[in-house]
Amino acid sequence: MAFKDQNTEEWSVVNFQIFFNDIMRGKDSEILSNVGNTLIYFAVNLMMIPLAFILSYFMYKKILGYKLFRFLYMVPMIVSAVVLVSIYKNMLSSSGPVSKVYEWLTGKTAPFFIYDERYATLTIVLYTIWTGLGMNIILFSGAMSRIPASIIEYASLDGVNPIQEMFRIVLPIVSPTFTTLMLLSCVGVFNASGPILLFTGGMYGTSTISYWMYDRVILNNQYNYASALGLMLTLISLPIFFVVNFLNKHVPEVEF
Amino acid sequence: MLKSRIIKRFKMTNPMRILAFIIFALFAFTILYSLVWAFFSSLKSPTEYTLYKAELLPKEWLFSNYIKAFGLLEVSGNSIFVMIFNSLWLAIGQAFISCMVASATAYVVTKYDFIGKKVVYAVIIAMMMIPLYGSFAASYKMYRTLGIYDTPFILITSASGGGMVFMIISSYFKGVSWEYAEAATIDGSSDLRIYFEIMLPLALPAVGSIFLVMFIGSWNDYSVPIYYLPHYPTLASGLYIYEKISTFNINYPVYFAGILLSCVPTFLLFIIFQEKILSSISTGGLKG
Repeated sequence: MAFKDQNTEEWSVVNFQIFFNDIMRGKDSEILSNVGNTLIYFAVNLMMIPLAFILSYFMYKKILGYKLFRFLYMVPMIVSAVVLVSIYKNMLSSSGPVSKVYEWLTGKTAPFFIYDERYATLTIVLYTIWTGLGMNIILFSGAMSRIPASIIEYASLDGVNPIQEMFRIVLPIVSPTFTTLMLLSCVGVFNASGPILLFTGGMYGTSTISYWMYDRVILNNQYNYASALGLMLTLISLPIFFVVNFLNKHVPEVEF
Repeated sequence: MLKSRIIKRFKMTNPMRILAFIIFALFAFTILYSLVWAFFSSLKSPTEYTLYKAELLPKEWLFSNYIKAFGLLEVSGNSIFVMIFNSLWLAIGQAFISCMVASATAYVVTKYDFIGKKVVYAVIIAMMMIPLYGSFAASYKMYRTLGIYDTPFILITSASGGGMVFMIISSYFKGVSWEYAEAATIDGSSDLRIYFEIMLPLALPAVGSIFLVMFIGSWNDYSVPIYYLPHYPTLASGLYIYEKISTFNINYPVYFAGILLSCVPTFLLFIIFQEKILSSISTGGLKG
C-alpha cells in the first residue's frame, strides 16, 4: 500500500516523495513537529518509571492509609478516558477550580491552558502523568509484594538502612518489572501519544503521530501516505527495539 | 503474618516518610477532588455552573439532572439507551471472544505437540513486541473491503488469539497437570471434551479475571468505536461526540450526570472484584 499512488493505484514512490519533501521543510515540517510532540510523551513515560519505583517503595512499606491510596490510584484505570479528560478540561477552564488556584498562587489571570499553544502540550503531559503514574505504582508495588519476607529480614539483621534496602535489595528483585516497563515504552515510542483526540483534536500545536494517523486515514482518506509514513517510522524504531531487547537480556537475573 | 510484622518493624527515617506521605496524599487528593467536583457540578443548574464553577457545593441539589440525562443526551438520533446497549455488546463481545480464542490457542500451544508450534508462538511474540506503525491505515482499509467496517461483525477482529491474554493463560496452562487429560482419554473422552469439560473449567479463575479486566478496558475504550463504528456510538464514544458537537449550548451539569452514570457499571465491578482485578493487573497490565 505504501508503494502505491492512491489516485492511480499504480506502483510508485510518490508517498515517500511527499514524506521527504515535508521533512526538508525543517521547522515548518508537519511530520517533524508531530514526531517532536510524540517524543515529549515518550520521555515523560520513561521518567515516570523511576519515579513510580521510588513512590511504590513507600507503598510497599505500608505508609499510612496505603489501602485508600491504592484504591484511588486505580480510579483512572477504571474510569473511561473520555470522562477523565472532560472533567480535567472543565476544571482547567476559565473560572474553574484549577484556574482559581493558579490565580491565587501567582496573582495573574489564568491562561486558557488547553487553547493556548504555549501551554497546551504541557497541560496534556500533566494529564498523562496524573493518570499514568498510579498505574505504574500499582504495577511496582504488586511486584514488591511478592518479595520473600526472609530476604528483607536477613537484610535488617545485617543492619541495612532503608536507602540501601531500596536500591540494593528491592530494586534488583523488581528489575524484571522495571525492564519490562522500559521495554514496552521504548518499543512503543511512536505510540506514546497522549489523548490528543479527546483534548484538542490536534490543534494548538499538540498533534502527535498517532493522532496524525487518525487524521490522515479517517478524516482525509489518505491511506497510502499514512502507510508510507508508518513504514518509515517502523524502520527507524526497529534498531531501537533490537538494542533495547539486547540490553534487556543482559541485565543480570536475580535468584531468590 | 511474618511478612507484615517485619515490614512494620522496619521504620523509614522520618522526614522521608513524611515527604512521601505528602506526595501520596496530594496525588490522591487531586483524583478524589476531581471526582467529587464532577459529582457536585452535576447537581447544579446550568447558570449556576457557569457562574460558580469553582465553588464545590451546589446551592440547589438538582438530582433531577440525572433523570434529564436519560432524555437529553443523544447522538444523531441514538438515545442513551442505545449507547448503553452498544457498550454492552461491544464490551462483552470483545472480552468474551478474545478470552475464548486466546485460551484455546494457549491450550493447544502449551499442551500439544505439532509441526509449526514454535512458529505460532514466535509469531504471537513478534506481534506483541515489534511495533508496526502504519498498520492502522492498512487495517482500516481492510475492514472496509471486507465489509465489517461499521457493523457488529467488527467483533471478529478481537479473535486474534494473541496478545497479553495469550501470555497469561498459557503460563497458567503450563502449571496444569496433563494427568487429568490422560485419565479422561482412558475413559474415552475426545480432545474437544477434555478441553471444554476439564481444562477450561480448571483455568476459569484466570480466564475470569482477565475477562473482567478486558470488559472494563473495552467499556472505557473510545478509539475502536470512533474509528470503526461511527454508526454505533457506545457510551464512551457517544458522550465524546455529544460534547464535541454541542460545544456552545451544552448543558454541562446534565452532561456530567451522564458521564458519571457511564462509570457506574465499571466502578461496581471494580469494587466487587477489587482483589481479583488488582492481582491480574499487577501481572498483566490493563490495556486501553
